[in-house]
Amino acid sequence: MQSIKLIAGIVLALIGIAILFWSLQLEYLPYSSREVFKFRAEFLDKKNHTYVLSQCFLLKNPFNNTVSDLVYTWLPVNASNQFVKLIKTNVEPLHKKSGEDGVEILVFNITIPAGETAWINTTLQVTVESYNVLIENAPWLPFSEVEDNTGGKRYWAVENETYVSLAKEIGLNARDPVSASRAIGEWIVYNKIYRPMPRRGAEQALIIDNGRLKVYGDCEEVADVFVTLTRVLGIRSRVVHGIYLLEDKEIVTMWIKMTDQGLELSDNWGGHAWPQIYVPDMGWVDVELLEGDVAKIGDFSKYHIKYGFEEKSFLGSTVSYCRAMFLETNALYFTFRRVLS
Amino acid sequence: MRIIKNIALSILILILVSSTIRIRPQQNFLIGLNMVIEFTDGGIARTTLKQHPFDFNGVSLLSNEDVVKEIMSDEESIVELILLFFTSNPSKAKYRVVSHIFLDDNEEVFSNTGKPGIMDRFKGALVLVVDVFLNSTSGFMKIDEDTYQVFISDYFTLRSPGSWIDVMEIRFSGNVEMLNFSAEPAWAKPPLVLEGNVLKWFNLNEADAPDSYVLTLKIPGVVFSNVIRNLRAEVSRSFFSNIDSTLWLNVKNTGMEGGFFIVSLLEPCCEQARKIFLKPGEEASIGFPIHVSEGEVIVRVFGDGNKLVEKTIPLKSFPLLSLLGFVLTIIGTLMLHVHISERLKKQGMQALTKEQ
Repeated sequence: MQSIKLIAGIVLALIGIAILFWSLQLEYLPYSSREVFKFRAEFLDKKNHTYVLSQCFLLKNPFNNTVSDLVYTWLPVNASNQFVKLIKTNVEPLHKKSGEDGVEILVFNITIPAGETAWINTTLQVTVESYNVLIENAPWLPFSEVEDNTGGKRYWAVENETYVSLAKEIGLNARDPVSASRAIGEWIVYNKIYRPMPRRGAEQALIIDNGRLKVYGDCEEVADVFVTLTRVLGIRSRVVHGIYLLEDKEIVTMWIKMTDQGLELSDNWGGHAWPQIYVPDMGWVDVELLEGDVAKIGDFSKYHIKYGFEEKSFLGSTVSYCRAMFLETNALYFTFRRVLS
Repeated sequence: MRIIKNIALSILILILVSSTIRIRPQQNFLIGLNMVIEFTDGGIARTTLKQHPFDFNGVSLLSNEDVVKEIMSDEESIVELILLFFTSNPSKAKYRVVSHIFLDDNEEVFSNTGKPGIMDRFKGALVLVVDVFLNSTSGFMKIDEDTYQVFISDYFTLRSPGSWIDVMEIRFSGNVEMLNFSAEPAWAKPPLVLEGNVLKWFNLNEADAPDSYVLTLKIPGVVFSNVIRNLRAEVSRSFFSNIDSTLWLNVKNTGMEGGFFIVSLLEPCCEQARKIFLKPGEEASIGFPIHVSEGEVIVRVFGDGNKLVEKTIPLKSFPLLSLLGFVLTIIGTLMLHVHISERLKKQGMQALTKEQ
């Protein structure tokens, strides 16, 4: 009799615990302690920083005859958190052309006699909004956006097995897209080996160093790896190409010159690329993984100037600032003058 | 016409560190580009690209072996560029290389070499012929029975705004009939030759050349066939975490092929979806933040755009099972308690009897 009581007690308790545990699974949500977490997306600490930007490009006709050529000059883009106004140009532009991902290009028709040079000067007002964001419980994007906007491109090897397993390892456990992006950003910050080099794309950017995967390259590789990993997880992301002001001064001038030895860059040249993620109700949020040893998501500085985006273009977007077919671009000067508000 | 500049571009756009870099540029050259697109029955666009390299003085480089070799070795990326004229994703486009790049001394290529208003004629061309199957391209849209819209974008100019097609010829053969056409941007020149079944643009510069062409065509015999992939999946388990209001779903690939699955969750307030790659038999857990307090959520799993699973999960409370489990646990625990108490009591009695 005693042993029957013992066995029955154990069996009943075990069945009870099993039913309790099973009932707590999702299909029968217990209403007792369920909390509803609201999605919050707010800009905090937003500040405007205005610069007057002079872009001066020196063109040369290397031929023995007069050359008339179309010259393409890139402008900073009007985009989220950046407002651009064209003030003046020293030559009347022919028209404005837009690239595949919204790049803005002024087209000039320039005629230069044999062996001579000419300047194209453009003055713009650029207002950059620095900001911090507070994002909580961000939802993942709807099906159609995931299907249309998270695919692979030339530089983003979304179907590469290494990226697939790495993305799972880093970000699959995250409950929301911002947490997943932060985990990916932190992994990149911790595992990057910074080396300036021509762009190679995400597929070539991961190397094995001492038995561990590392991101090898410069800002473009860091951005490409981030975009690839986030896209594997269904997060809409893209690369921004632009300029980073390396000096915090009233006037910053940086330049590139073509010399007899080849290209020469000023010590403060700040050509830069960084990623963005798309958050519903907020839009594109900047991600910076090269300012200090932290993954900054939505912590955007006044030093970033956006010149172009790369999202849908299969082969990527090119920002070469000034380009002509026959005329040579011999020098590019960018002067940023801070305007006090 | 496109320009081959081997180093300069990539150097211009990077480098965050403070450094001075000196690079000796390689020899640059230009390539005249003439393209013929012929639309044929069944929805094939036979695309012939004729290229002729020349230097900055307008002198042909077709006899320069290094330059010819460089162009020929670039065939794969040129084919990709041709596909990009018709589609946004070349990896999904079906095509057939009819002729790999070969030197045809009898062909001619027209190109502007820098002399204003003059189109130079070059003898000989490096010719590449590719058949593009329009039904596999994103620029091909059915309007009506046998009537289609074809969107063609000049990817040379999209990729590099200073590049363009010097001569573009669009022709129609068999039973293909052109109903309408337009070209963008507005300032691009209209076709100079418009006769019978041929549209021809002679573009002296990039501003003259259209960036895109939209054609409405009557094409008999186009068949759309879907590539059937055998992706299968199931939602094997679902769990709601009260602590952070997260719904966790276990998704399993039950098919024989690996692939990307999109798991969509419909709350009464909104829809959200996650993407996950699963190998055959692989199972993984993914979480969604839940934003509503009541109602039901619908979980759908898609593979290759097809819905594979749909499951409705109620968000209303249903505590009876929890109550039953709780009661059974209490009864079981009480029975154990009674059993242990009786046993202890018995042992105590036995010890007392022994002492006495």
